[in-house]
Amino acid sequence: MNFRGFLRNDNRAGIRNHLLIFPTCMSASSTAKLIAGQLPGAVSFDNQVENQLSKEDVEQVERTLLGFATHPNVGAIVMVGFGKETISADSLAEQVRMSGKPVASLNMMECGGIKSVVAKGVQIGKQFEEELSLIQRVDIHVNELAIGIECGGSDTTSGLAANPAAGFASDLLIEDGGTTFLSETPELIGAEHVLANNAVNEEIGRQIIATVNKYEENLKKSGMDFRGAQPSPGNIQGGLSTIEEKSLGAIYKSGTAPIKGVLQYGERFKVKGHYLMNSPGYDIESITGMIAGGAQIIIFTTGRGTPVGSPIAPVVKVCGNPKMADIMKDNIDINAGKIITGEKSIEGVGRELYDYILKVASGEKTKAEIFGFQEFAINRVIS
Amino acid sequence: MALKGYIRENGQVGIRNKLLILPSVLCSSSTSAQIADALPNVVSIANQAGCAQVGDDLTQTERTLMGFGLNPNVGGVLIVGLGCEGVNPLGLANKVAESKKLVDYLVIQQVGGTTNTIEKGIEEANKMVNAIDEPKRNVDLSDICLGIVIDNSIEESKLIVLSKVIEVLSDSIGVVIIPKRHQSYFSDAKELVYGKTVTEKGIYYTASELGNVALMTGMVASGAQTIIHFTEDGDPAGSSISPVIKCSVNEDIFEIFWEHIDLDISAPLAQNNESLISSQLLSVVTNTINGIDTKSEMLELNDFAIHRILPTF
Repeated sequence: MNFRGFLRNDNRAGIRNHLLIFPTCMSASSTAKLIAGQLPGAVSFDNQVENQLSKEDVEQVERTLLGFATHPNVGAIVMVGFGKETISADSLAEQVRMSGKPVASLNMMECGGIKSVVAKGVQIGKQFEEELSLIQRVDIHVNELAIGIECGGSDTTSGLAANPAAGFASDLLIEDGGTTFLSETPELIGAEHVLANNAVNEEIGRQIIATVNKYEENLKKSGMDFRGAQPSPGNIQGGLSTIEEKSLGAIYKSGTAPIKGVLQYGERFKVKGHYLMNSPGYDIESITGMIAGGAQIIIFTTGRGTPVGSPIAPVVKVCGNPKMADIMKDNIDINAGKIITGEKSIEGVGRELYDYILKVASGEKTKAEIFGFQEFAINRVIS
Repeated sequence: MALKGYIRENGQVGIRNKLLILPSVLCSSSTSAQIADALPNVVSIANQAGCAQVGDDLTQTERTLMGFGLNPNVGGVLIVGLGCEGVNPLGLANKVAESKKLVDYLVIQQVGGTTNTIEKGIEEANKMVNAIDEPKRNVDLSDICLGIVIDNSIEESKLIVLSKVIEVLSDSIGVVIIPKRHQSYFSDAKELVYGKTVTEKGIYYTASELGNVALMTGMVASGAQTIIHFTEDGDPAGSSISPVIKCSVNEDIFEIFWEHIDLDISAPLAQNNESLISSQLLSVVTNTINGIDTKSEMLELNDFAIHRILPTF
């Protein structure tokens, strides 16, 4: 089976053809926003990284930024740097060049001030937009698709409807040879043994357990009661009383396909298959990590409803709560509440979701894209 | 020169009269921005936190967001929440309302989706903008809380002069907040918790080893109505709430970045002429108080970052 996508010079498949105005640091963020504001087709993000805290933090931030810069949904890039940052615009641009896409690097200290940088950025951006408009979608096999699966604003319907439907869709893509990511390590606590049993082999099973244990250890080291953050106040209102209860519902989005490996936050997968990415439960940081890891599209299951999107990848909202699916209908793409009301089966919604994903991959816009939502946040290593 | 500002019901003095659309969590930040963009003199901030936080990190985020609502340059606050986040939008609204300023809140999951929230938000914001409109009255420099940001790269010899300048400014300005790194220059400086509202006059030092934006964000949350940024590197960071006065200590940087730097003090600094620098700065501060836009305001630079203590979980 095929979808209609953009085949990049490095042979990766894009489902969008974005011009990305890319601030390499906080000092360049406002300027990047000003450039993107003058280019209606461009996307940008708010890079709030100022000072970096440790080697691990630097690596994680760099891995995430590089994942965005080389992402196949991005057709061309205008890098905006300040000139003093640790991760320079020039060095990122160099790596983008190697991926074969058009890239320009603007350095504020060299260009001389915000207005000059904005003028230059807009001028180059317009040229890039013209170039991008000439690239046509082509037939690409679905095995080139990678989906990141996220759940947020969970309630009791999440584990009963939206997550199993997402898991079913994940299994369908894996059967077709594609790639899916399960994420949100803290929301596996108490259910890690179930996932480990689903690993491709014992070694990966041990890695899954170790990843969850390490996360729990880090939480304890912070000296804080993790239960203040998980389950969130909204989860509790939605009927999820403990993290274990939340986790046991959350893992349904993994489906039945064996887990092939554990990826670090923002790490790019090398071989197609089903993975666990070690990411936080905070939705947007987790989504950002999976996109950096190569996901071209995100399935976001929810019970309570959420509007969020991402600058470079479509986010598909699947709501398991029939009441919220109606109340938040302008944000929800797929109503999995029909499973709760008995109108549809898990399999039925799973197939509907998979079909919708193929349409989105071929260009249909999700609700978050129509609203222009472009949330972004990097998970920082702070100890 | 007479100073004019907005005297708030709790006695605080604003030098701008903004309506703030305050997102309690990243998930409602874009919605807040879209409401703010629809109306003049309405601003928002890019809150990237607000959920999956614990302990001191959560309290610090809440304190900072609350501080933005409490800043005297803000005449009214419309809080926009998602509904399932860790930072409670209603709690935030109640805290800000203690200042007696106009506060309201909208929760996306309750209002029912983006279109309804933006529509209601714009309608509500429009009413609030009119309601907070008030004439300026006579105010005094002693009503002002001034944040001072100093680039890490500024060398010792320049710092000595700058600290004397700050000392002079603090003679007339009510509250001065400096980065902790420079506390040794001020024997009477008291410690200020990041983002905590200042209630008594004096010199304070707050969190060190932060980036400029995280530092500015904490100072604005503490109540700074304006900020002077002494810059060696020319970082353009600005705030949508409190005008940032960019003051270059490096002639070459001023030549590159004159578009966003308000004044260059490199020459008097080299001559150790602190009285000239102080009087130049006081006149810029006076103009800024009286409503003249700083360069970062003209460019509409709006940067925001909360100093995080723990990772998000």
